[in-house]
Amino acid sequence: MSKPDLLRAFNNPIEQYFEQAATMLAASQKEWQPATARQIVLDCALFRLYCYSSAHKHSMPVSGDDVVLIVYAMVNTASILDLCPQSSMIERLQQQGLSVYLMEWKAPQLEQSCFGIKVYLEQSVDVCVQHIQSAHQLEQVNLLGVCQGGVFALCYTALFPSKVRKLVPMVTPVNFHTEQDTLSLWARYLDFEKLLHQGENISGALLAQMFLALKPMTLSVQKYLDVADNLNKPEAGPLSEKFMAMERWIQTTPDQPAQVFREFVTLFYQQNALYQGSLLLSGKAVTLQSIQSPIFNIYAQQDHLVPPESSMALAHAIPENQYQDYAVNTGHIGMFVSQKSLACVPDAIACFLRQ
Amino acid sequence: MRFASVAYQYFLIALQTDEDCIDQARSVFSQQFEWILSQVSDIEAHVPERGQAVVQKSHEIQIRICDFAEQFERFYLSTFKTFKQQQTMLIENDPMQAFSQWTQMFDNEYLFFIRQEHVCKNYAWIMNALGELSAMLSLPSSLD
Repeated sequence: MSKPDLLRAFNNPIEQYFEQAATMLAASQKEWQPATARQIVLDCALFRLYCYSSAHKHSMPVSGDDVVLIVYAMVNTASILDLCPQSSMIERLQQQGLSVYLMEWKAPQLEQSCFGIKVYLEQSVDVCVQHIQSAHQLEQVNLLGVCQGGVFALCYTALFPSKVRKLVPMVTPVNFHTEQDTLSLWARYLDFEKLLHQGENISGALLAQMFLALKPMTLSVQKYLDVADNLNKPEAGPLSEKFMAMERWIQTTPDQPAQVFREFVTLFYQQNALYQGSLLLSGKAVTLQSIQSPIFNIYAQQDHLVPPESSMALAHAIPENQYQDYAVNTGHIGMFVSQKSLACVPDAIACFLRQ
Repeated sequence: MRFASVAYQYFLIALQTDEDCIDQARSVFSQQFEWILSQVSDIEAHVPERGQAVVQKSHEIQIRICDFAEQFERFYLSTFKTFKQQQTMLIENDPMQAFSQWTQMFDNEYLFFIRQEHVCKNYAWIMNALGELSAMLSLPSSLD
């Protein structure tokens, strides 16, 4: 039998099975809208600051326990934290009585390609912290740093220890040279003097392909088999909406500012300088030992992007009486959207902030 | 979704003959290597206008990419053969479940493959060289 004949022989039932699932998913395709009401309180060149509380609450004095600023990564977008009504970490944090602020990066312009991490931190996180301090008459602000945003939050706290009340790194890499860190192995031999050209940023699409290449079959094929199987069950519910929201999020891949990316890969992934205590950002030493705030380190036990060992390494750098950690049996993305994580993580964060 | 459907159909065909397994690999990985392949196309489009240094560099890169792809295909073929030997019953009784098993087995084996130092070095060499070549192409041709 020739190859086209073979394909035709298999075609009918299989094609119908997938076609039916594809039709259901296509019907759920829509633009992402925040699941939780929010307002923009700062709109700057590098970022927007959103406040997830009613307008009358913003600018009112509140307890320092109850305010948290989320610092997201530059990879993908922060919409994953408020993906849809059934899966919103931000909504769950709000239900704990927290006033949530989110700093979301804007896609970098070419003129920002030469800004390094320290400049970014000073012109973004620090601006947000000052705004929240002033709006709520607070001396210190709680930070929740997500993935790479957790690394930024650690660096910011080390640079400005007196401004941070408590710090929650979530799925944050600390030791970039653990055995299971595939991204780190790949990054080790890249030469950024050859790869980066002046006046260019890093393609977000290229990075997305690299993440996909960590689990190619699971992320390109298996997830569709799973969703097709589940969509055909009567209890599928809002699965197709959530799946399509995730697909849109995966496909939204902003470019990375070149100098920040270069520093992030060479200083963190290649030199492991934060963990080794040798990190210099624009000539300024950044050491984890400078952090005075209590830390609640949340990591995912099934994380294929940031191995749990990498996050857990923070315990070696922070005094015991200042450090707690919290493991969730989920994956990197599952930390933000899985029901398992949403059922316990927001509560654990609120408890820590109010201790 | 339709991509998964095609991948499954390629899987069914590949169960018949080992050679077709390579088509299956290409169908799944065409997305992953799209960026590298598009870079090569760009190089080919620019090379005739450029000097000897660029021609030599692009030739070197294309040889490395071919070697890299061949090495990957050999790995894919050997993993698929092992899978077929281990899962004859499942393949016979429930091909959809067998496909699911295959995707999981492949990703586990693939992780071991791509974590090998020589593979990481090869991949980095290609990326670094593409960067270098891209810089050469953006320079005035008189510098070649």
